[in-house]
Amino acid sequence: MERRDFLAGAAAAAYLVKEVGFPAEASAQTAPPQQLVTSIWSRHVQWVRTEADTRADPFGTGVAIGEAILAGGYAAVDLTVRDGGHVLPSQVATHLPLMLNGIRSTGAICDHIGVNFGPPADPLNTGWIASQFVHEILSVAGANGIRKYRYNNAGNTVPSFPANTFGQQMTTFLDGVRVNHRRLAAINAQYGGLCGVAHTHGGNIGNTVEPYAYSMQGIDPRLIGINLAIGHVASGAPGTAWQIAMRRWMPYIKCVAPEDVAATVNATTGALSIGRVAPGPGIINWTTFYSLLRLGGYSGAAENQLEYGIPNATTGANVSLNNAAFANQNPIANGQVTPAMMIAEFKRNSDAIRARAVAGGWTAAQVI
Amino acid sequence: MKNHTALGQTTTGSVRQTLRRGALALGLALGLLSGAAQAALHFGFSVDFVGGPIAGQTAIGSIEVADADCPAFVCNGSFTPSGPNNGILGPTGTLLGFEIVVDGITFTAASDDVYPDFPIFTFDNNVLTGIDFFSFGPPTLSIFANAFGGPLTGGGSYTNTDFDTSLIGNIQQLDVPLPEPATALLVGLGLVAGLSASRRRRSLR
Repeated sequence: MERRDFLAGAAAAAYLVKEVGFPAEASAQTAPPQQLVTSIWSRHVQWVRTEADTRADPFGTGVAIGEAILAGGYAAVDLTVRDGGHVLPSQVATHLPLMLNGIRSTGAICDHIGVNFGPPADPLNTGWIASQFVHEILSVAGANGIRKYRYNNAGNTVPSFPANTFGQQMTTFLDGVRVNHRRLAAINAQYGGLCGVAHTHGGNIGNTVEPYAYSMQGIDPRLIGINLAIGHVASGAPGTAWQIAMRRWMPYIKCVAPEDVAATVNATTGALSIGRVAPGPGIINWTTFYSLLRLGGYSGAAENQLEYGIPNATTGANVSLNNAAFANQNPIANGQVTPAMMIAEFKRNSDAIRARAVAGGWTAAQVI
Repeated sequence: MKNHTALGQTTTGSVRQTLRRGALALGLALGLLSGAAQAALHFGFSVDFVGGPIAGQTAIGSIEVADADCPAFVCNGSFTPSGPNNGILGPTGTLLGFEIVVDGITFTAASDDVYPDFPIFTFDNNVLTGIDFFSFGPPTLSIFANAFGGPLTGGGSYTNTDFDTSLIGNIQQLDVPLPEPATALLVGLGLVAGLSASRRRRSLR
């Protein structure tokens, strides 16, 4: 083992030992009740308006978002603030407050946003802070009641290990990411203690959780954490590996994204394939998942992202919900997916969160 | 008696004039000196080690920030080594110095693995609300804490060259900033000069 690896590992381990102590300290003050907040990633709610109407009427769009997610059984929504999202980064100062007001006027919760920040692996690169509108977005978000935001959502900005790198090369890569995570954490502190949660995107360094945690060592997990997209993580680490990752890095897990995945075996080759499916049988033991969250002290959102396919409304052929379509875009515009179908899928997923969480030991009152 | 008094007054007046000239010369000299080197405000803080080979020890750290960034000696916002144009946090104050001795090892601002972008110290009306220092070493020292409207909480660790790790528990601010001696002297001289000028104007009426 390299000396640097050892030191880094020791520092991370020491940090986590300390970090595990935080909940006890917090509870000595005023421990907030442990809650699970049913939520949905707003790219699946962009169909409530056309893109032009969304830009022209952010308050009215916010009202429509709030009404749609409440009708679908969710309490909260995580609002996209990115190119092609509900709010464009260049319009954040004017549109985000209005859209939040619209959402909240319906009684829906919105204290999460989702952005396309991607802290790079080059430690000398600070250009991303300006080019990705980090200050512009977080200053407005922090001043308007946003407490968390998910980042590393877009494949083109999320760091992934270069091909054919091994051992120390990969450690050095993560050390570079850590430097930019420190920069992002400092900005989060500047705007009132926002928490950025790095999405465990399928192909990025966070897919197996451990490298993400390494790239966050020494950083306050109240400022930088992980958005555990369990469907992505369990696809790469089915069986018990995802459970160990959850337990080991629980102090950093500040948001979770439940999503069903199921396995099939190719009859000819015997190869295993894991794909996203609607709530139902699959490879994730949901009782274990929600039980681990509860026992690990997790309190926060359970945020659905809908990436499976359903029969379309016109021919019955499969149509994927893995999109960010406005009302003027397919599959909404061509009628293959209707608003009623989307609300029904929302309900199906929010019901699944509630039932599975209760099976995992949460009380009904804890799941809002 | 009158002559003596008159003589005494004359003598006293001459001494005062000499003192005034001396104070003026000293003030100018100090002014020039302070122009060359920024005046600093000093903060102290402590970290307690709660586990590992140096458990039970307390390390005292010091922070120096530019007093020009703290109007009326009250510091607010973030302070980094590279000053107001580092381009990362936006406008910041200047961190002039940082030092902490742990287990006989001295760590300074330049020990941070991303110096001069870091370390960062944050104040809210002279209350320390944030520390971000990480030296990858070896030896390694990380100190991180934030307040977010409540008490300063955080942690960190120190790993020595034998790979023994000690954990940091409580982190506390020890004092509010005091101007450094040169700054205090300049302020004092300003007061003396002001008083002197006031008396002079009064005596000319």
